[in-house]
Parts: sequence; C-alpha cells; structure tokens
Amino acid sequence: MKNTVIALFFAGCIGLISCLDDPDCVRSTTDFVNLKFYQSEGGGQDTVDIERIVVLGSDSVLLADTTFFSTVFLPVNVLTDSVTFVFQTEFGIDTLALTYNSSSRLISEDCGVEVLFSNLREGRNDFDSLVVVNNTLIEAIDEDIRIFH
Amino acid sequence: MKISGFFISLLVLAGATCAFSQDAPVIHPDSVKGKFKPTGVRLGTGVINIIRTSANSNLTELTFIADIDFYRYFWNVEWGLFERTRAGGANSVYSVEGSYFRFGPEINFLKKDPEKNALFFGLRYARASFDDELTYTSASGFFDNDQLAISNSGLQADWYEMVTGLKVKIWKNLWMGYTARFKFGVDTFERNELIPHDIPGYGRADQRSAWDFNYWIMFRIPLRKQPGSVLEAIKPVDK
Repeated sequence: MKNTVIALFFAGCIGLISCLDDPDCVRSTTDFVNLKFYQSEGGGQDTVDIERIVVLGSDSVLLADTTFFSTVFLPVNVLTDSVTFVFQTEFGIDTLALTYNSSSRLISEDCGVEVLFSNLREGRNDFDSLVVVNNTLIEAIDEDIRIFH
Repeated sequence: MKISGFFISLLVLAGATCAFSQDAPVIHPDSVKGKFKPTGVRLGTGVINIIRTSANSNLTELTFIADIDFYRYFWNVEWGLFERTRAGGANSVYSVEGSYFRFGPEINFLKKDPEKNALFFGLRYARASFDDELTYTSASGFFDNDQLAISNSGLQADWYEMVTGLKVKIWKNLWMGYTARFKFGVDTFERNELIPHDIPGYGRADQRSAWDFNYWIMFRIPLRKQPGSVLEAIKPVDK
C-alpha cells in the first residue's frame, strides 16, 4: 500500500507541467465606430457626398475629401467617454455626439493592453434618423450605426 | 500491491460498503466508538508558490493550509497572499495585491491505510479580496496619446473548486501532498473600467474556469492516538 501511495505521489509531479499557460495575443476589439448611410425612403444603403468630418474640440480633420462614401469609420477616445463629430455633407452641416464606456485590460506582458468600448449610444444628432445596431465595438462586426438621410 | 489491484480496491470501497460476504470483515461495535474524533491537525505551506516567489522578483505568493480529520473525512482551510507586478507593451504596468481563503470538506478513499495517508476528493468555496491598477499609454492613431492610470479597489471574487490529490506521510510528523483543482464560477469583471488580469488564488481573470496544481509540505500535530482498525474479520465458529 505504501509503495502505491508513493508511486501515485510522484506520478502527480507530471501535473506541474500543466501550470504554465499564457493567453494568446488575439485582439477582437476596435476603437472605431463603423457607420453606414441609408436612404430615409426605401431604406436601401446610400452614398453621401462628404466634404469633411472634424472632431469637436480637436484640430484634427478626420476626412477632407469631396468624395462619395457609404461607410465611414469614426474613432473613439479612451481618454474620454464621449466624442462629437461634425459632418459637412451635401445636405449641410450635421452633428453627431456619441457616448460610450471603455474597459481596459492587460492581455499579457507580451501582448500589451486591450481596450473594450461598450454601451455605445447617441448623445445628440442632426440627422433625419439614427439607429445604433451594435453597441460593443468588435473588429468582426462591420456595422455599428445606421444613419438615414 | 499492484496499481491495478489498488484501483480495484478503491472501487470496492466506494461502491460496496455493504457488500459483505460470509468471510468478509464486519464492523466491530466497540471499535466504532469515537472514530469521528479528530486524531491530528496538519499545518503546511505550498511549495510551488515558494519556488515561484523565489524565482520571480515581481511575484509574492504564499499559501498556507490546515486540515483536521474526522475518521475518513477532512475539513480543509487554506489562506493565501498574492502580489504581482507585470510590465508589458505600451509602457503598461499592471499590479495586483490581495489575499484569499478557501475551505471545504474532503473524503479519503484510503480509509484502511494504517498511516492515514490520503487519496482524497473534495470541494471548496473560495473568496479573494484584492486591489489592482493598470497604467499605460493610450495608442490611438487619431487622438493625442496620454498616460492612463485606472484601478480597482476592494474587489471581491468568489468561486468554487473540485479538488483531488494525495497526502503522504514522509517521516514521523512530516507530510507531503499535492492538490489538483478545477476552479469555476468566478466573475470576470468585464463591466469594470479596469478588467482584472489576475485574481489572487484563482489565476487569470479572463478564464471562466481554470486548472491549478500545488504541492504541500505539512507538519502533523497529533491530538490523540489513532484508533485501531474498525474492521475485524469474523473468526470461524468452532462446532
């Protein structure tokens, strides 16, 4: 009996190897809001002539080309809980304020930090209609907000 | 005893406590008396934690264990201390410090072993209390980058464990053992502004379940003499 117990004890040493595990450097989150334009009548996807998009309170111009877009990517800021964008389009000037929560976590020493933006919602906007279709910013999801003109 | 014979014995013990044959042992009435009185208390510490603490200047992890026997059952209490700092990319530094405890019953499948060695299975309830902090430089491609410092204070995490392992008498009152544990039912705190990376006593906070393994070195304090075997074979009746 004693020999069996000792044998089992040392057999358990193999389990020590299983203590080593590290997370994978896989990031599924993004810090961009994926916004698509739709027609108010009919509901089909639309293209809009955007002259420029600027972030309120910032000198940065997000977009400054006179080009037709059906999709734009709007950055969110981990340092604040809201961002306001000013759209200058063929329809005039529209404002879109977005609010959100951010959560940060260390993935690992090698992988660094990941930020998760969630609870995305509209603060105010001047568009005809706006729907938040996804409120957690995930890389694999290709549409977060629908704007109807 | 061969290993296969040992496992067969275990199955017989677990499933057939009432299956006595004509020559099988029976419980002697006098020997049952007092068998649930504790015979000793074991106090010990986790060996792997000490090795890891010695090898890593950014880690302090100490675990202490105590158990007391009630016949073939043990009541087990563990307490641990955990501090760790991790430095990563984007100038990130994550630090966590806290303590944890867990307790629960165990059943010993080697109840006939005269040395009271134990091959056990048990359950645990565990709770950790901890604070953590993360500082890093935001890496937005559009907004100004800045240093962030976020923290959690007074977090509590609960979880449950299924454990199995061995406790073996090495020499006199010196014992060694190991515990393999499956941990589950923890909150991963994904609603927090800072999502913890480590939960003291549990491990990575992003895992809803986890395996763990630890070796123990223990010292047994006898409380009374161990009772003799409670089983006695029936002697053949002379006719």
